[in-house]
Amino acid sequence: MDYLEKIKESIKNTDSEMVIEFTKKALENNLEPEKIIYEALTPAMDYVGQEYEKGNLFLPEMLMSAETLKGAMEILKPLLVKTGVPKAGKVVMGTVEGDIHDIGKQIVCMMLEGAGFEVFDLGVDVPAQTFIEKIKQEKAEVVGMSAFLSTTALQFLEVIKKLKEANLTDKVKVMIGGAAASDRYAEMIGADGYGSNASAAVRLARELVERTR
Amino acid sequence: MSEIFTPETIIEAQEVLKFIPFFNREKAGLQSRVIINELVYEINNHRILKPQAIFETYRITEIDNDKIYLEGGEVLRGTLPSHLLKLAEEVITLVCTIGKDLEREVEHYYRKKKMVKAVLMDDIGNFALNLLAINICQIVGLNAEKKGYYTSKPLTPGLRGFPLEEQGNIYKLAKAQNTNISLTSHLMLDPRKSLSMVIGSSANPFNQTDNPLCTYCEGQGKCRYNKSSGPSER
Repeated sequence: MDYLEKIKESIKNTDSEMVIEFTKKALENNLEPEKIIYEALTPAMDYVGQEYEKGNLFLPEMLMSAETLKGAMEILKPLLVKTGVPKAGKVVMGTVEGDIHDIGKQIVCMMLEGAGFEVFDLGVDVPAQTFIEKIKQEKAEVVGMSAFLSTTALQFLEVIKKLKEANLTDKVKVMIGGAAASDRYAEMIGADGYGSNASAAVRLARELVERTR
Repeated sequence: MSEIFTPETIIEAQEVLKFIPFFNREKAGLQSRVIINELVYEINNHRILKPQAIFETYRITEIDNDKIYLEGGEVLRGTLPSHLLKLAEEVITLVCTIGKDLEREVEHYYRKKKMVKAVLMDDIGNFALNLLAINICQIVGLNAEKKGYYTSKPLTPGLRGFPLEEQGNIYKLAKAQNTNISLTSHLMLDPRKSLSMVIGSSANPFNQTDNPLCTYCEGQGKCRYNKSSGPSER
């Protein structure tokens, strides 16, 4: 029986119980945790993300799949720590200073975690200096910033300015999102990319991590 | 003289389902529908909504291309209100909120890593705020009707031609400091599920066949509530 396929189907069908059962069975059958992640969990979530971006799935359904995946991750995480499998990347996330909107950024955090990233969520109303300190402390490869309003989106620039001052622009890539952001705005302020939704943000984070390595 | 309104707001799951575009489609999941029903029950049963609204009426002394001059020397800026309210004799400034408890619930679900519930609770909050705004606009409309006046569509700052910076001005003009709503240093309303708007009022009817307000929205193309747009988060 192909447990990897079963796990993928369980994630697509948002069947939390079955994903746990098949993950356990896959381990009992000597499948490596890394193989389960990269050949079942990641492709399943990629598929769900693509279907969401095409408009065939809706936000709650995509999030249900992500929640289903977490069941498998909880089993696999301790094993990964033992085997020392590297994370997909380190991302510092936050809503910029002056902005208190949270939920879009939280969705992105959850999707990034599901995709194997280590995420440091600084919350809302985050001063530029706090972003810089966390990036340095965690040696993050990507910083993701969110702003809802045109008045607060100006803070993206402040963080980018501080990254330049700290000579971090080669080591960390900047992605932006939220209602006040766009591809054009990202280009204009010198950010490395814009994620129009959570699934796109995960794709972008992967690309940006590649560029730092 | 401004007055604070605290209308009791009971919401119905069926109305919420109609509001969230996702549920208008055939394939919308049963699981999400069940969660919406549970959350609506929780909101009504625990009185999570704490609606509050305040508005104040000002006579208009002059309108030019991008400014509406009000009695007492106050000025409302923006080409959009100047254009759409050019026939107005009065302007009503209005601020409303559903309170902070719902966003605490969203946070609670997020902390428990129940993201689906957090997102759907947030959607219900948007529905409740929209419902409150409609109710308050109706009250404003009825008040105007008593004087033999008509009212315009409400305009919210942030629309194209109505700078977001005017939110602070509306907040002050509506005397919203007398409510539980506060204004942050970056001119955001707190609680998050709050709205500010202006409504024109006049003895002559407004041209309500003008473009829908979504036409002027900077978020057009990204908005989850606009059925023609693609996937996006708030």
